[in-house]
Amino acid sequence: MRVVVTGIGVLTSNASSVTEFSDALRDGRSGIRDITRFDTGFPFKLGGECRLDEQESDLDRVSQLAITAARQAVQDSGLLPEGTWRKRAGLCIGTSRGPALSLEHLLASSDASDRQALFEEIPFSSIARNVAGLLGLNGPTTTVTMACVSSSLAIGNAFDLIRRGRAEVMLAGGADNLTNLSFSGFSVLRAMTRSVCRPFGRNRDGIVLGEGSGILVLEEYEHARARGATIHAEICGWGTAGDAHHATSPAPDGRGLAAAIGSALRQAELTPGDIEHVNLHGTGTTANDAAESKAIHRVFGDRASKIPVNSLKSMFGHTLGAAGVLELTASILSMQGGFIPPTMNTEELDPECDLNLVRGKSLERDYDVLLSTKSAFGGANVAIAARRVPERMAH
Amino acid sequence: MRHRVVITGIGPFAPRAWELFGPLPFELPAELPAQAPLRIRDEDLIHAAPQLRQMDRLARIALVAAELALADASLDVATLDPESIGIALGSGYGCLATNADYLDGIRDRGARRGNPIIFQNTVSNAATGYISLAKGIRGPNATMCSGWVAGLEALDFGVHQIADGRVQTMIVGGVDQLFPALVDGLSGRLTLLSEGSCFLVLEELETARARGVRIYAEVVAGSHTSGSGESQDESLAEAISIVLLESGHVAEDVDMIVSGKNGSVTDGYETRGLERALGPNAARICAPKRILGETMGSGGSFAVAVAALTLESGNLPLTLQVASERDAGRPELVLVPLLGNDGSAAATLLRRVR
Repeated sequence: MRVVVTGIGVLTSNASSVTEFSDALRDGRSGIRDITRFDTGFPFKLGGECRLDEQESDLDRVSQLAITAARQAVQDSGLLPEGTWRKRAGLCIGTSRGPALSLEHLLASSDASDRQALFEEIPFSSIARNVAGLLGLNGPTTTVTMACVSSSLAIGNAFDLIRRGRAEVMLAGGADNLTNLSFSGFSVLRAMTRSVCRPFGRNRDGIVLGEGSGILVLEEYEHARARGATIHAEICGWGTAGDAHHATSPAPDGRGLAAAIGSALRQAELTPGDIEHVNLHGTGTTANDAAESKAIHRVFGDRASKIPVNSLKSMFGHTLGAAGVLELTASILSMQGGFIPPTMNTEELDPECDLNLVRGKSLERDYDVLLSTKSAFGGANVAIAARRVPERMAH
Repeated sequence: MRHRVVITGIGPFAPRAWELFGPLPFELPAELPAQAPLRIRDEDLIHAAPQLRQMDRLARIALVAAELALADASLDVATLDPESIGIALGSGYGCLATNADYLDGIRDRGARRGNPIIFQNTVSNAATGYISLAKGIRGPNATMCSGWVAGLEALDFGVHQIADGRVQTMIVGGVDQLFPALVDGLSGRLTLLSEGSCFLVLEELETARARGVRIYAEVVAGSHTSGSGESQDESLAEAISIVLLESGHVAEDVDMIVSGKNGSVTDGYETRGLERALGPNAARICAPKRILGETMGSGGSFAVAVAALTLESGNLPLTLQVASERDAGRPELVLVPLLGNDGSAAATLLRRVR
């Protein structure tokens, strides 16, 4: 059974719609500015904040981000908002911090009724509950909380649920919100850059945080064809593997990520030689980028320094649990547009990261098969393979 | 080819787990008085491994349950290919207690004085990361925080990793811990709230047979549905219908139900959901939460453990309702229905392996 992408919704610091996102990626337009929504408490304040029209203002901001992207995705898919498809449609949401803002407010509140209202919002599953409830979905509703691979694993889980016949349509993706919790935490871990994020750069010194949401409508291929849906891409396989190395640092030899890529390729019935572009996690930290480079060399051997790769976090920030879906979505849109978006800010490549990093400006390129990889605290790794569906089969 | 998946190890860890999993000589009264929330004693959570000293309470609770399950399955992970075994964990509230600790700290001392050791545990997959590290598990790794059905979600994820041939073995479970905001938020809704974790060892049937280990039960199907809070009974009935359909069974085949009833107002939804899917008085029902308390995200894992133990031993757990003559026999097929406390519902079906 084949699974295809028939709808896309995105909200990032550099775009509020799919068209804006695609343009921003091609032009290398950054959404990184000084954070204005809260006082970071640090002399550095850079981050990627989203513009959000607060439509459901009693909900946590992270739910609002997810709802905005989900509505866009359903509209893009051509599925009718009140249609019967919803009976056999589910939702897999990935998030790292979840409704952290509601938790922060609850802890600070002494008003009993206020605390009770906030208590309903604080579970991670409240995002999925709010989105599924608003859209009226009756299929499986899952919340994946795997730090920075959350939405990648959510997409993988949704892919499996469709292939098992549990649903004909799955909305899959994730959302995360810029909050004090994340900004303070990554800062005290000394993982934040004091200047700009330079993935795989010789002088890289850390991440820049972002926020956002991405939702994909995944659909069983024949179901999509039967209703004449536009197919953006096919998800052909995914894999996950653990490092068993350290709570926050990746295995330096990249073994876990290499295993996840191997698992994704096996399920997709692809070989490393089939992959034409790799969208990397590329956080801009010393440890991640070096380990990720090792993983790419493990899997691709001699081709590792030739395949065009990129990291998009310097453009719209590290969106944590939403990174997987937003960066896979960026890659799918770029594949449709015939280009590979650039890694911003990295001028000089770290010799330890011997990769063909697309830098500065986008690379015009026709390609059909891509891989997106993400890694996380807890030693988690996920890889997803996607390919273009030929025009004659896509309509 | 899809592989058959069996349970070969059970690791229940909660203040009243031993009462539940030991012999039960009495029947509980229909109405239980409200009791104080049950906490696990700190002295039961000590772990000596130096690389694990930075674990938070949630991970410590989960690690104890995982170790109990692995020991029960006589499984030494060090003897396996590390990529052939994975882990999946479900939790209702995940790392929220640790997040609250971190936020309390920076509210009192400022954002620049946050505690980095606490922060590294403010991801809900910290627990699976630590367990993987302690045991050398390098296969699939997943953490779900899908409300109170999260333990069954993790089970379903694990079952399909094996059924699809990705790995031979998975350890899967549920965990939740108590913390002030949670106890406050749930106050008055339940007669008994408890923290705890329950892990299960899942193996491919032939792998388990080749090891010659005790097989508790086969997991034959699992499902998850969603809907509004007012239609939870319909969501549950749908979830049950799916597992019956997928497994090729009919309602009459189910001869025991491990209920998720917890003494709250949602119990009525379970009753109506079971009636919708199975008809009235379908099978004998046991309700382990009457003893164990509501363990939230691990509730489904405990219920599956009760079902598996019953199928293997033939000893009936506490039975609150005996519906018909056939209930005197040994159960062959057990249903675990569960409401997610958020409009979602899940069901798992387990079969005796002869």
